[in-house]
Amino acid sequence: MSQSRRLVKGGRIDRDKPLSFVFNGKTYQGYEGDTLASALIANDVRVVARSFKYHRPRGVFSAGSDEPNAIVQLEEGAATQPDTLATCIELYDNLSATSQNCWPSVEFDINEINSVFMRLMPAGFYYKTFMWPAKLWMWYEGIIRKAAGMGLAPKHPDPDRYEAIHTHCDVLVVGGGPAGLAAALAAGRTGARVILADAQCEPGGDLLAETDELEIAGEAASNWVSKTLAELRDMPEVRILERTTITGYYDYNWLTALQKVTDHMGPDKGGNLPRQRFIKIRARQVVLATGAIERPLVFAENDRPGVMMASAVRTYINRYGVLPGRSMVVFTNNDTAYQTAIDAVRLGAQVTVVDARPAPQGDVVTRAEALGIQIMDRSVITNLHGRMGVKCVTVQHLGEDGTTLLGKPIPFSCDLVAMSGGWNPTVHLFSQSGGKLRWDDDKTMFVPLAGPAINPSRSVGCCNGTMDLPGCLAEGLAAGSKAAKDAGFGTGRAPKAIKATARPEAPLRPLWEVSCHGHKSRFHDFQNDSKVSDLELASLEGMVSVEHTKRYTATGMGTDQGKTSNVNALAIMARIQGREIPAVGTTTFRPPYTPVSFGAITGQDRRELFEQVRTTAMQPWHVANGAVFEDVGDWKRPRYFPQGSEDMHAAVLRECKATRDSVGIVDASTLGKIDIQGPDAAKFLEMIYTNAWAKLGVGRCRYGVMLSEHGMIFDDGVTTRLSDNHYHMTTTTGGAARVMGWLEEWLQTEWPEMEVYCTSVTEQWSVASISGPKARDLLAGLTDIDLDPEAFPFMAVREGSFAGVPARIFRISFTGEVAYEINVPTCYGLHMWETLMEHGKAHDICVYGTETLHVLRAEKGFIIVGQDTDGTCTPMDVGMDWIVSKKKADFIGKRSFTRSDTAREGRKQLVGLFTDDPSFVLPEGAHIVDTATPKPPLRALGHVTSSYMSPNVTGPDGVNGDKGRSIAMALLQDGRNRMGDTLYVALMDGRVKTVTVTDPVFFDKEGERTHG
Amino acid sequence: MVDTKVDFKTHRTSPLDGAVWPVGPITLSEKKFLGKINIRGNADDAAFLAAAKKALGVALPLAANTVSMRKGKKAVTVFWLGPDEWLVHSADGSQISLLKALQTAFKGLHTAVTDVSDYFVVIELHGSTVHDLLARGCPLDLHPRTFKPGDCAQSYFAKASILLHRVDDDHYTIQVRWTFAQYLWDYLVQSADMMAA
Amino acid sequence: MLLIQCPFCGERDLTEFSHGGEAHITRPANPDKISDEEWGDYIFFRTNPKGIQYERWIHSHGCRRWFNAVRDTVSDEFLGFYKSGEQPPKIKRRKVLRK
Repeated sequence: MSQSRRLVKGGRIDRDKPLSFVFNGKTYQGYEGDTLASALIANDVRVVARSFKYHRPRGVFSAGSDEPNAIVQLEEGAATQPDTLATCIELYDNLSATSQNCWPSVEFDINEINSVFMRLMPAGFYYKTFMWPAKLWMWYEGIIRKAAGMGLAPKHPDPDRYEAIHTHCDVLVVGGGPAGLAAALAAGRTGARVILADAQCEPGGDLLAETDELEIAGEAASNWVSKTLAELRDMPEVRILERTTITGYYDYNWLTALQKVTDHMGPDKGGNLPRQRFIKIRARQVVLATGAIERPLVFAENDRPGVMMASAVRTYINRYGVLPGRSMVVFTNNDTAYQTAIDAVRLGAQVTVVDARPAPQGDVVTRAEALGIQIMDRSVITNLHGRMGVKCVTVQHLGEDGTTLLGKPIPFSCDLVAMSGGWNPTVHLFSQSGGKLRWDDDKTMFVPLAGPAINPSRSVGCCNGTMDLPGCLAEGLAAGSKAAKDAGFGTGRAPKAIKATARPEAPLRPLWEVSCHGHKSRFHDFQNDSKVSDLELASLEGMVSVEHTKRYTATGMGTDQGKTSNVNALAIMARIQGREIPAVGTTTFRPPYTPVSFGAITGQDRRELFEQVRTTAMQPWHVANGAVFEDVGDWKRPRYFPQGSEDMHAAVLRECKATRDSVGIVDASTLGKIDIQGPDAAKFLEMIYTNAWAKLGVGRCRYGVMLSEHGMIFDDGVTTRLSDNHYHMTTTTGGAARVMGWLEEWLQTEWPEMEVYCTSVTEQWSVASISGPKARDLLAGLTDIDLDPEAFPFMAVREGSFAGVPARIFRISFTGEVAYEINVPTCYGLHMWETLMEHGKAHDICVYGTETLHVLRAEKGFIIVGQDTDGTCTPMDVGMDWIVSKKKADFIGKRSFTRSDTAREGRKQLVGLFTDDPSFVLPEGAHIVDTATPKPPLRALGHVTSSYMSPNVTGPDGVNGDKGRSIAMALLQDGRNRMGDTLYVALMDGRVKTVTVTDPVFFDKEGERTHG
Repeated sequence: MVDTKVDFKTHRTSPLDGAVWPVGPITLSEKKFLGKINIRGNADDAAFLAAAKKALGVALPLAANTVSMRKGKKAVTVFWLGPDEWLVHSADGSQISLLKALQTAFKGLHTAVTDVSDYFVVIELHGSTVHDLLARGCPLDLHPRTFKPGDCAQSYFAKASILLHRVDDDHYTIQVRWTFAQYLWDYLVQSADMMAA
Repeated sequence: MLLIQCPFCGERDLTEFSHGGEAHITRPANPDKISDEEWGDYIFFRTNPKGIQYERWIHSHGCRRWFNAVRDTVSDEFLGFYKSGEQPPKIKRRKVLRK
């Protein structure tokens, strides 16, 4: 209730809107405008989390997405989110969060025992300790993960909705601080389409943490921000995206952003809105105004709760109206931290500045002294006490060499250390874009050097190493104007300069690690519990490359990706290796800049929208009649139609038998169909197919096989000559798009002189295939086409009407029976189907699905491309020598037949298999071996490609009947020379089945039924 | 023998059954049974262009990603699909005579005319925020500076290939393959639902 | 994500296109007259250069036309686009970085 550290006034919080929230089971109060971190500080909650490896108590450290310590589990149940940053969570009413990484509580965490044995757990500890025995690693890993780990993943399906959207702009400005606002203003005024993306709930950046002393354009900075935003909002082509972090920068200025749409409202408060939006932005020009991240100082016990970044302390004071400490030591090597000291002292805090620089001078120092702030120059903090929160620091003089400690240690009581080691420009996005960095010795920081041509961007302000406000504004205006011009807007001349308070800064004193006495923990990476001693050990053990060291010590890994630790670690490595900082190199920055939930990336693509489901026009009938579906590519096809309590086996036996006894019907609409027209169509087909096409008569159909140039089968189907220069091609269901692409590729890129046009017509035609002894009788009553076998022979097409609608009827067969494929425009598909089913009753019609389709064609030895072939099969391999023209000079794939491997003897060839046990159906994919007692190592002679129970085939044992007879097709090494051989099929469960090799045509070998 | 007299307009189904769906400021509807004809031919051949114009009553659009339209009783919309490919939308049923007229006009020329009325389905979208809805699945830049009324473009929406036509500021059509229509419809409706806060 | 200039439709996202490998590989006119090595070269071997590559693309979700592009395989920068059947433009490799 108390909010003991809340200031009585000030800040951008709304004191009229108190909110209550629960942290670790305890209820607290905050205000609208707070973050969880500012509200926790206001309530004097110092220990917020436990560290990753050593379980050391940790408190709030920063005020942004660079936070390495205050990582919490937000909410519970399905809505829970692990690893969220207290510094980035906007407070809402009834928010609930818990500390991570601790048990039983954050105040008393049993695993803090790790901290006691910290010296025994250096970098690489887990790798070295749990190496042996290897098989126990999985067990060790479980224990380690439980002890280390991060937050808990939700156990329930995500109740939230997300969306992913595309957007485009002329100029994308990343970051809404002074430089970004100036850039957006300059670009926006040209009329260019501008997106200003800012991660916070309101743009303004560090200006939101300023006092009114700071002036821009003659007024308080905060007023300038408001006015600028108002002007931008009035521009119709400018969009301001709040709560939007640019997470990735990819080729050709394609950037991804995560917009937190309703996170700040709390679970279930956003109505229909998505929780988060993943935005894919294509920008002509990019202005990066991403600011800078303050660099921690690496001193003894610097991870204790109450050690914070100086700029963060200032943010809490000025933006959130919270004073994080009443008795404060500001530890710095530069001027910027003095502003924190000044603001804190004015609000009644006791402040001492410990400055590593000898005799610091300048405006800000003078102002601090005028306020009575004690400044200890040439000084550093060498030790810190207070396990659960800073109680006292020890300060000592630092020698000129930057390492030697001089004089007597002086203790200072305090409850807060505000530190600043300088600034690191936020170059992450620039680096992701392929930009190279340069080490600036004067500024002591990495700054952008040059970006790749494909990603035109400009870095402005602090992320460009320009740290003064007038400079930031000037760079922003200039870059905004130039970016707009490069995108085709405006003259490129910057608008009139914006005046602003200048705060000249004296140089900093580089201070990468602070000496201490004895073995103290000096953390450079807080989130990963990585210390100076770990870097030293890594070096001792031979790690030189920054990439190796990073992985060995975990430096820069974790959810913050080293935002605060990378540069310090590089500098310490440079010292250890005796090299310059830029010589050590930098690690590669990779997306995302901040974590992105999978849900956001997935967007709408989930559940029924995960993948398209294609169905035919007859789908309503299939559903109403109890079809069991299977996926065939994108399609849902009926697999079988069970009656009563039938299982698949029973249904398929019945369907197979009925089709050969009376008439069966299958929905064949999914077959690919291509309309081919042009004077060179026949010539083209001669190249595409292996057999002859020139002489195919009008109105006749022919089966064809297509090969790749390697001579391997890649699709098959029936093509029909509708008129002299007009053909109708069918392809396999799965191969439809592939074949269409294949034809177009040859026509466009290899034979553009051929006069042929191809048009896909797959969905234009719905197809019912009826086959069986009564197929003709059924059709006879429904069409005006003369069905007499003389007038309408096998492998012919006729056009006419069917049940009152226009139709093309093909007399082709995939079952080996008399069969007709009736094609009607798809809008009539259901009508055709229902008519056939209704009239079929009198002919004992039986509807079947893909399973029966497969059995019936297997009985005839017809292959299914992609099931009985696998891209290594020539037509000869599958026993289809007859389909290969011996006369044609050329066709695609022909030349490969004489390559040594294609032409050799003993290739895998398609055969039939009879199991000795007629009731056992071999599993497809099972390996064929030549021994009844297989023991590894074992050479497989081939594998089963298709395997079914057939009610129509009589085996060598004479068995057939209602229960069926097992048949199989297989690719078998030298198969055709093994006819009649006994071989064995080894099953996964160790059983071995005996089989006899046979011809793959099991039924009606002479093909009499087809012609009947 | 059943009645085999051809009656083109009975017994038909469409994948969305003529659905109409208002969501917020947007209304989606299926434009049922539109005639659709695919034309292939040589755009450099004046005879072909003249023949097409004669049969259609309007010239084929030669500028990429544009349409030409004929208003009135014999209204057609002709879409540029590629340098040698166009698509004609015409009134329900008119495609049969139009197909014949095109075939007749093209006699002796190397062309292809194909009825694709059932290959595609057209969804109409009306509303002030349709371009925002389309951005939920389509990577095209639909800003009026780059995609004006009268423009068309082939692209994709989510996992479906589409032909998008901006008829007017707040009026678009999307053409999609018959078998992708339900998926596209569901995707549009669910996405629009998230916009209607 | 790459931005590709379809010679017909203009600039579109990579996701509308499919890559078709090295360009300007012509199918031998008389396959029966050439050696196994020559045939093998045609069906199996590609240059895979570090630097400038002439390559084929198809605008799969757009006009479905094949065309060619010149791309620097190091920087991923496209240096030119031209229609199928056209002569490739002469391209000098650009410096990868710019200020």
